[in-house]
Amino acid sequence: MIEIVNIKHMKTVFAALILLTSVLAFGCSRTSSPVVEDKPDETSKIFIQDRTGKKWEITHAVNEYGLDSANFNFGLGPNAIPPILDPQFLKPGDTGYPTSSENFRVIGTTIEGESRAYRISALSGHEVVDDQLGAIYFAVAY
Amino acid sequence: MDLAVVNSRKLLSNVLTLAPSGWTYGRTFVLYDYETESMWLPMENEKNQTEMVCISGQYADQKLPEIESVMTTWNLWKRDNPDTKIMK
Repeated sequence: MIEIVNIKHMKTVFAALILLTSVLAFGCSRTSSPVVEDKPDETSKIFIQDRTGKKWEITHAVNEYGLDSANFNFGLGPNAIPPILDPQFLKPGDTGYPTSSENFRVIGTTIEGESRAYRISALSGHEVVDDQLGAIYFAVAY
Repeated sequence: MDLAVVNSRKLLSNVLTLAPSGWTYGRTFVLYDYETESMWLPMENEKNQTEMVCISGQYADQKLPEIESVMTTWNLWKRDNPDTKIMK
């Protein structure tokens, strides 16, 4: 891109040679850098590709938040870790409700007057629970 | 990752279904929403609250505020919240 801009300041006798060089360089950069897609007629967009082949555009994340595409890791794909979309709960007295002395780890929250606990061990395979209490829609993420 | 956080998943009148994107950024999970496939990253704001910030997609720059929660153990949570429910 910079080379193309510079052409404006070159003598016309060199312009064709410079243009040819920049076109070749552009072609090479496309093939050698799979995470970056450059389109000469548009603003450059930045993508990362996960292991399923799905492409995620992160242009805004890079340009506005200073994130580095190299720090996006794992790339398991969107279906690898299914969230819990319809969580079911035990209340005191229900079969399977833990005794008061058990000390496993939980994250607890109280919303609209109701308290709910989520075992960390239950979250660690799913990472996200999409839950709702009254008019409050919330996500528990681990 | 040892960050557990509760956030709103409603933006204006739109309810979002948040899910793991399969990506991490550094040591933090990256979420996305089923509805628009926008990407969401937990970030700490100036009040030490962990917001979900939309870093890419239709909801870019929107934030989902944190809802107060406690990382603790069951016996302590149950002592302080005797009527609590627990996810199966």
